[in-house]
Amino acid sequence: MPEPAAFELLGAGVRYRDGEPEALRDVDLRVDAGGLTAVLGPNGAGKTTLVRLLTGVLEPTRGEARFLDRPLAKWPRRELARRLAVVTQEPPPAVPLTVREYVALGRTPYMSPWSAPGPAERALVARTLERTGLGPLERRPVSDLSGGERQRAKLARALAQEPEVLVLDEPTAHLDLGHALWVFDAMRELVMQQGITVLCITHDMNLASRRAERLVLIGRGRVLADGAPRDVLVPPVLEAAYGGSVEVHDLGASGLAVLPTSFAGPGARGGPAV
Amino acid sequence: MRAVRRPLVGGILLSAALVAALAGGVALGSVPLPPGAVWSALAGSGRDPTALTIVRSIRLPRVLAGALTGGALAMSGALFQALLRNPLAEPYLLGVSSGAAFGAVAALTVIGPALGTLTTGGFAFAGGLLAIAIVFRVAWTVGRVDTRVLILAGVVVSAFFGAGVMLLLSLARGDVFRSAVLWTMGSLDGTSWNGVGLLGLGALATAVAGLMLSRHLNALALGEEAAAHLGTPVERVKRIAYVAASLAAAITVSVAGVIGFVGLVVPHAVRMAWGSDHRTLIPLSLLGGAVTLVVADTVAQTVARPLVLPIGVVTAVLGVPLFLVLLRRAGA
Repeated sequence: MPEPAAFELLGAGVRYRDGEPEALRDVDLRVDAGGLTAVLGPNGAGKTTLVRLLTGVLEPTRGEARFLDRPLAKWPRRELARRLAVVTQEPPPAVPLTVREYVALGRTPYMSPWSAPGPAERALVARTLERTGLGPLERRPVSDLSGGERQRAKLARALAQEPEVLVLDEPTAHLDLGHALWVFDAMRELVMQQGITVLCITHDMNLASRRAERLVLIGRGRVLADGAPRDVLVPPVLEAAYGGSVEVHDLGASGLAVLPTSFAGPGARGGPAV
Repeated sequence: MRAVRRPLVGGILLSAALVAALAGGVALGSVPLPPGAVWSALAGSGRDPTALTIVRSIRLPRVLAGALTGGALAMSGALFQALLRNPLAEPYLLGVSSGAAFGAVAALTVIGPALGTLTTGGFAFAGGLLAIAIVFRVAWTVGRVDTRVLILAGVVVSAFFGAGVMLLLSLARGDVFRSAVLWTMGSLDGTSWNGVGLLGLGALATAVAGLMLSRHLNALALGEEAAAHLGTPVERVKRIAYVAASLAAAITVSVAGVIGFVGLVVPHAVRMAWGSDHRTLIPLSLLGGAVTLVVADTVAQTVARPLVLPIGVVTAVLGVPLFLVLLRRAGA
């Protein structure tokens, strides 16, 4: 029997309002279990719409979205949350929470209304904090954390869900070099050591080329290129997606370095179709 | 750095405080009674029929009504704050208070005071429900409640019914005017055992909804989309919690009038002292709100005897300085 696909989009399209162009159209995408897939694309290309489609926040207006061989609409939310964790760009929590409380929220899909979390639950949260290096910070309010630490806490919260599949929406946004590398290394480690399937939206092509085995390039609501980093990150493909011109340098084992050399202006090529 | 929170200690402290407040409320009232007379009236062995009536038909239902009102308002406030992710949210946010005030003032002025307090309460309840219904109808689009529309609609509907109240008051006779204004300030005067039963239902509804949904309310602190990713059925949780919290607010308003401050501040104080986890926040808010209101009502009856002050005024005057001290400490 073939391994079930983690994600499968079949001719999927999303239209937010009647009369508007589709934010995504005719997307066919299969992500097999295991591996790190990075989704790239210009601003407004439909990457976040893709994440919302893949995680069941949004239903496709056309076609179908499946998770582990079952239409997303058929997944009860709670059961879905035990298999799929999502790290989004969310506002800071509305109430003061310590890092431990924040990470423990990842256990929500496993909790019942009446029983208090037992020692096993607490141990799991403690282990997750240790693994993500947040142990020393567990009593600190989340609002006091730096950007890098907060991203770490978000990842820890997602891991506390014990997911099979992890989706991250721009996990390296606002992070410095070192923290961005840490995020990619952490994702790589989850894939290699725990067999978690990771799908990550990012603008960081250089790190993605180095750590992901598959890149999916989205532009104007469609999949423009899909394959190994060296097949996707080539000047003609990038120039078609982003407009302007780019240089790509192959650094061997260190991945690829992508440098833009000119830019045709916002929305010139890669923005949403109007 | 924060000390370890001990919600269980909080529960014990607040329970003890509630027992003391209830005892104080029964022992003290607008009419002074010797402690012995109160005790024997409670035990049923009193020979003084006046003391018997005062203790069993006036003070006992009154302190219980106070406790249930305070508890329901505090829990309702905690629910609203969780749903709207806004510390300024309070039980009257959806226009319940002005809708109810309009109903009550209409009953007092147009229909006439002859119909009695039960009718005033009934009209207040109907007005409150009407306001909630309008606000929900506006904010409810394609199977989801839009939070921003909800707040705006609440504010606007409040303004509308507020204007209605002003209109009726401006046309009212002097004595009716006074009783209508007093009603809008909140009072537990003349609370019957029926009122206690009704308040009990309101408090029960919010307590059950709050506890059943507590883990989801915790998740909602992260935002609706993040909560959905944690397995929370966001729209269902919002519907149930809004309806329970608004119903409770409508019931308290119809029995005790508009009592501000408790629903806004008690949940905050509880959060500062014992953390934001709704599994403990809801029950501790129930206790904290009950203590606050029973103490405030006892003060309202005794501080300017034989005058009884509006309870809403007392909750604010006593509570605000206390809360400011708490805020200052938490900020430091």
